[in-house]
Amino acid sequence: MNGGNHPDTPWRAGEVTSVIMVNLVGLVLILAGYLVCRATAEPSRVQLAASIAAGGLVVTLAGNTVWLFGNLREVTRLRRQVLLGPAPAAPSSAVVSGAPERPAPTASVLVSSPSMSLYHRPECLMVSGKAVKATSLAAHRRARRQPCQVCRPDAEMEVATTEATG
Amino acid sequence: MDFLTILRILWDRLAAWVTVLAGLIAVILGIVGVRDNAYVAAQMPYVISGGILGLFLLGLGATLWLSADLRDQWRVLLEIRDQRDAPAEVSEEPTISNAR
Repeated sequence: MNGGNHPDTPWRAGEVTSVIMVNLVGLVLILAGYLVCRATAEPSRVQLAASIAAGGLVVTLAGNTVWLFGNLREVTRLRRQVLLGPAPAAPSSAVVSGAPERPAPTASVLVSSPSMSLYHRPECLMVSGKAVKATSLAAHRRARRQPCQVCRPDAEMEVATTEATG
Repeated sequence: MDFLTILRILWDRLAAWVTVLAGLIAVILGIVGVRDNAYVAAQMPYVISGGILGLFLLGLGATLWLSADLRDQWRVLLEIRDQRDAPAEVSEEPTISNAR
C-alpha cells in the first residue's frame, strides 16, 4: 500500500475526511430545508426548502458513490496485483516485446494434476491448496493441457518464439 | 468475545444496520405524517424529514455496508499478497503441496 493509506484499509485519511464532510454538508442542507419548510406555508418558500433538501440528498449520494468507486478501484488494483503477480526484473527480451514481466518457466516449475486441463506456475492462486505435481512442459503438452490464463506460464516462451521467428 | 470487541471489529456493519433502521423508521414516520395531513404545505415537512432524510440514512447505511465489504476484501487480498511474496520453500518432492 502506498504511503498515505491506512494499513488495513483501501482508503486514505484525506478521503475519509472528504466523505464525512460531504455527508455532513448533505445532512445540514436537508435539515435546513426541513426547518425552512416548517417555518413557512408560502408555496414558493416551501418549494425552495424542498429543493435545498433534495440538493443535500443528491450531494450525499454523489459523494458516497464517488467514495465507493474509489475504494472499488483500489481493491480491483490490488486484486489484479495478487492474481497477476508483481513485475520482477525482466529479461531484456520481455521489455522489448512488451510482454508481461515474469521469470521464464522451466520444466520443474510447471505444475498440474491428472484431473486438470491447465498447467500452472507453482505460485499460481488457481492451484493454491491443491495437490499438484511438477511435470515438464513437454509432458503437459503431451497431456493436451493448456497454459493457465492467470499465471500465464507460457508468456516467456511466446516471447522467445516470436523473437526467434523474427 | 465480549460486546466491546465485537463493536470494535464490526463497527461499520453495526453502524450500517443502525443507519438503515433509522432510515426505515424515518420513511415510515414520513408516510404516516403525510397521510394524516390533507394540505400539501403541511405535508412537506414530513416529506423532507421522513422521505429525504430517510433516503439519506438508507444511502449512508448502504455506503457503510459496501465500504465494510470492500475493506474486508482489501484485507484478505493483502494477506494473500504478503503470503505469496514471502520467500517460498522449494521442495524436491515430485508432489507439490501448494497449500497456503
